Amino acid sequence: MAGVDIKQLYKSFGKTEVLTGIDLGIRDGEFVSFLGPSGCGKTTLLRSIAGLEEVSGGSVRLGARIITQLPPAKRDIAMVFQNYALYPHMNVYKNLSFGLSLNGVPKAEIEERVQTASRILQISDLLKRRPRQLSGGQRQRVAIGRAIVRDPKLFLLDEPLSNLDAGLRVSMRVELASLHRRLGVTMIYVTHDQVEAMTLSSRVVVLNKGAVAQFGTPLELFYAPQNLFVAGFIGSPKMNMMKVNANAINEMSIALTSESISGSISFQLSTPVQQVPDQPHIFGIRPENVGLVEEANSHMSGNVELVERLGTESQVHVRLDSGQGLTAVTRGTHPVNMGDRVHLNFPAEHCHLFSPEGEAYPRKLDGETRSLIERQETAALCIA
Amino acid sequence: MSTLVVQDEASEERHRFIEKLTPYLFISPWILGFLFFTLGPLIFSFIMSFYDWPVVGERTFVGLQNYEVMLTEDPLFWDSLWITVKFGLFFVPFNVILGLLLAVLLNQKVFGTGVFRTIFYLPSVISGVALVTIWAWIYSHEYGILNFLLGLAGIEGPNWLGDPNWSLLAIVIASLWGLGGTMLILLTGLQSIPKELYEAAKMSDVPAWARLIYITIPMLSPMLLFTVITSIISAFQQLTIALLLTGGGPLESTYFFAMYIYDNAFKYFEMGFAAANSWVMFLIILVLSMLVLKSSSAWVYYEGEMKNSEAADA
Repeated sequence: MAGVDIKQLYKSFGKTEVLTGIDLGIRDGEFVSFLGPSGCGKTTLLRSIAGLEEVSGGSVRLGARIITQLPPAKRDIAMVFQNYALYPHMNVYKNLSFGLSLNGVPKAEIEERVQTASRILQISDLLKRRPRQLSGGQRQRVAIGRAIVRDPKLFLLDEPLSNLDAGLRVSMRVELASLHRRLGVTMIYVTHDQVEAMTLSSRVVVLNKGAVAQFGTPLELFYAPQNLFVAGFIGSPKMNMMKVNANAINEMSIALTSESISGSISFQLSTPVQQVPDQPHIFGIRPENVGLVEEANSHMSGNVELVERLGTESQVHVRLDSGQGLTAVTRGTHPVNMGDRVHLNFPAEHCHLFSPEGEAYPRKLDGETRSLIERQETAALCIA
Repeated sequence: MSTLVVQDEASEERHRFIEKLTPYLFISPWILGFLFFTLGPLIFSFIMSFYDWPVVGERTFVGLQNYEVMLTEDPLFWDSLWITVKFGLFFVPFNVILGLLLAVLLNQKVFGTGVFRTIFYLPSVISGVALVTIWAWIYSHEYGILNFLLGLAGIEGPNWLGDPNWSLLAIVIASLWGLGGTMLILLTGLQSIPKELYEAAKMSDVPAWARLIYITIPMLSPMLLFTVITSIISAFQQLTIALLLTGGGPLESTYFFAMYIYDNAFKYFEMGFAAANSWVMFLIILVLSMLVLKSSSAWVYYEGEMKNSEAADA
């Protein structure tokens, strides 16, 4: 087992730069997800670690070894492919043992490794079948089994659940988590599904345009996004954002004003800032923190354009008087209707503030949230 | 009122008939061609094979006599058949194996692959006569480029087309020039193999030779089966190159079965006998193809197929 250290990793295809200087330190035994929209470079980064892509610059270290120049097979890494990549003409047993038998592993040991892996994955009674005779979930297990039998230092999983239906995806997610606990091996998981990333990982790497937008625990990404991209990407429905004017009150708080908001909001910082540039800033508030209230207590007013009722909650899309659109989440049975005049407010402690360049100001979190994030961080550290 | 209904029904029926006929009209050029130029002559030649059928003169029904004479009295039949089999024993494996190796080489991602693919396919589009003329120059004992090159290496080249020990090999080599077609089929097959299979193999430290044997060849096996069968057929039908390059000689060392048929038909004008020869050739090809097909269940893997035992297991 080993941690992964990536330093200044670059990769370009012709003139297109796909990875632009990635720096990452993944701890031994951690479960880390690479999360990002299509084309952000997450799969390329994974394949570069695997050795299936030649990098244009930088280095990858696994444990004590620099593996950047090694061929894939010598890296001590196993990979699970998105479309499983099972050998269709071999049965499950052969699929699992193929690589081992060609590398002079004794027959008895192969047998033992295959049996152990298939017991862990509950595919013992499928060993004689061909991949075509298996369901999607079973194929997925075989693909994971092929990685397990190699007993690697690092597991790479490239969107392994994306070909499964929704129900199976949830149960496989649970199984993957318990598999990780059981094997205790470092795993890197590529996904574009934030729920998978948030639930499975000890830490998540959010990638945008070939660069790391933020690397942190799931709750950190949600409650303390470092920039506009992460704030907008994590969370569903998306965070509401609008332009505001920002004026420093003192070094720990900033007053926010906007034509959409009546009065001013006092944004509390967790670390002091020296200077607030005199330019429009971006203000963010998550839909679940926006409440429908009486006019007297409200910050904003507008008309309801659409109500999406999901049962447990209702998503209310409001057009504010300033013309700005905004989404609020209320309880599922809230009687609000399309066309209604509504008044909204939000607690100042849930506000996010971003500089004109899109960098987040460090906001002051409430005690409960802070301790939750800290607990997740400690847990992530404990793995190491 | 009732007549109107009847009329309506009649016109609807006509309409339906035309609708059914339309697709057949569209494929009629092919059907007619097949009937008149393939199936017709096929049946006709079968009937001919039971006749003494000179081009000019009386045709007499002789029953199985043509077949009897061929199998028992005419040594040329067995000689030419043996030469053809020998040719096939060289040609089929070389054609398939070299075609596969070329396809694997040309499937590599290297600079100028497209150019190389074109170059290797080019001989396949050259007409037979031109090809033979080129090879006649290449093989020329005194002035041929092949013996010239061998001479540079210090080897005294044989009389390729004049020495009965070398003439058959010369024809095998010349006919392998057309392996571009085989290569193309296999290349297409190679490109349809998912590249993740190779990546997965690379990750599991499977060496290149094992990737070829355990992944490429099984995944390619339906195409290999196809090329083996078409190679067998073309080996048995080999005529142009031998006819024009050696004329069957020297000492009938390249007297192929197809040439035997050709001579009986167009030199001796024994149409009935030649028809019987053709049917024997057809039967031989049929049996060989069926044997290969039968063996295929052991070595050909089809994506869509499920064996009975597997189905029961599932």
